[in-house]
Amino acid sequence: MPYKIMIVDDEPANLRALERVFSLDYEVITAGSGAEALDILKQQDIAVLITDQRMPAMTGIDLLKRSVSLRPRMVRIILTGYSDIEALVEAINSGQVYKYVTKPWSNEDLKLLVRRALEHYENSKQHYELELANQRLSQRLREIQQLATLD
Amino acid sequence: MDESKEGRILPSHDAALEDLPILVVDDEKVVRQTFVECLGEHYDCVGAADSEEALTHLASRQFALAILDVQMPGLSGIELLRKITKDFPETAVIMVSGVGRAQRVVDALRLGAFEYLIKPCDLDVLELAVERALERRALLRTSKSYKVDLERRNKKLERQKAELERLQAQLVHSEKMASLGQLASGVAHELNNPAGFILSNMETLRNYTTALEQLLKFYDTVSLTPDHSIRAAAIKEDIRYEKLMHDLSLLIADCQEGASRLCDIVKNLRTFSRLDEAEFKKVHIHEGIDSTIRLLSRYYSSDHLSLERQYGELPPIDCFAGQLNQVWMNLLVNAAQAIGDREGRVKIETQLQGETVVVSISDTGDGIATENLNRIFDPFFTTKPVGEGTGLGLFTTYSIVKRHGGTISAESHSGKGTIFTVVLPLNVKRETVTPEGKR
Repeated sequence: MPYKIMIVDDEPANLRALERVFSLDYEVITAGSGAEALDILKQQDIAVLITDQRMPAMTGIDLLKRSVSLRPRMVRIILTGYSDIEALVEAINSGQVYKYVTKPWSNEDLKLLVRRALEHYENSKQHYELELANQRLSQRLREIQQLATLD
Repeated sequence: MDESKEGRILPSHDAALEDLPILVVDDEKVVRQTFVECLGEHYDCVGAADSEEALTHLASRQFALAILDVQMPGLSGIELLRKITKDFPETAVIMVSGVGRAQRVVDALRLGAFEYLIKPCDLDVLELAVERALERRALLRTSKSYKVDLERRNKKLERQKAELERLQAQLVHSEKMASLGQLASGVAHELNNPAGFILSNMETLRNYTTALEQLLKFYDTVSLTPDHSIRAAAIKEDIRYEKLMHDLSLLIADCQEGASRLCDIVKNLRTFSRLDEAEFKKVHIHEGIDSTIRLLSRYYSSDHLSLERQYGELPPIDCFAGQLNQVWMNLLVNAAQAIGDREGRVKIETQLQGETVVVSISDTGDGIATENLNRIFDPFFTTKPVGEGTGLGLFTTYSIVKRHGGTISAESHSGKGTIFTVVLPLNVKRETVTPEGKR
């Protein structure tokens, strides 16, 4: 099953352009606003989220911040005009943003970036699953040890 | 200017004046003594028997007033008057004569005598004349010092006016830069979106057409029924299929070229204005110069104007990048305009000299006339036709360079060209530099 990628932008032409770039390789879901994107995130497991920064109502960074609790392991990428870079620094530093891409973007760079993002996603998912398995095993071990001492 | 001096309105001469003696010059001993005795009651009086003696007195101390007999042996009273008005202008003169010829009186008064008395003269009249002469002298001195004071004040006002003009020009400049910067950044931002999807779509379009071409080429190899084959050939001819297929990729290539150029403009506008980075930071000067040149392609891509760049090894320097770019912009536009439509060369040279970066921009244009050279950095000074120059370009340049703790100088030889040299310190204390264009 192909990975699901969500693109959020208030400019329909941008949504279509980006959809064309990725639709061959991935399942692309688009949203015209942050609110719409959050609704979709509640229902679908998205691997990579690419959002525009400047949108009316919810900004891209706000969307990314709010998406953390819904999809903690999803990889977050922001598309931005240069003038927003400083606002991004904090979000990037706090680890909520994987990478930012400046407009106008290059399709090839963006494709490469998403490939890397998916590797990152795979790794962190595996890491998370290993952690879960580890926890389960530790729990079992504790139970066994308790049983051993009881006997 | 010394403010305490400025503040003082007038020096008081009157006190000093009253202490100054009166000189009585007459070859007749009786007259001289009578005068000295009479005036001696109120004033300090000194007598002299002839002009020679009088001049010796005058040379040794200052007199408020000299009373001169007209007819004297040796140097006459008139000649003495002439000498006094020339060499001792601070001393007032009253002429006394036994002869009252109108012409002589007029001559004496014209030469600077305050009064002309006819002998024998009433002593009351003499006293009155002396009083009036001293009074007049005091008034003259006062008005003279008023004049000096006024002139000083005028000069101060002129200086203040020049300072105000300079400040106003700076204000105009910062307003202009702020609005230009906002415009540039606004335009860049608005262009980002369409430029983004056009560039992206052009790539996708190329992929789509390549795919379609693949399909069409396959169809070409498929054998059609004779009927279909004829119809296909007719359609191909109608739409000029071969030419269309050939042109399609060219067309896309052209559009891609256009779109990427659009992106370059946006990028350059961004480098140029750097409005969102209107802060003090370390920047590579060469990047700024190069992006400015790209913005000036209107001048610097023409065949007759060659551009030579001789860049030295430079570390990044502390500056407001957008403002420094304005400096390169102004100097490079001027250089190109100096050459105009003729063949010419503009050379940009950079080098590290100790703790400073030296950037020189030279052109092979007309040069600047010597009489204008020391005015080029003045606000509102321009030699360009009305509407082409604001007279603020070099002034702005100068202000920005100064704000960065640097210097700018120009050297020009009429007919041979001009070289501007900008020297910027590698490290400027942040406090000494304030972003004027920022709001």
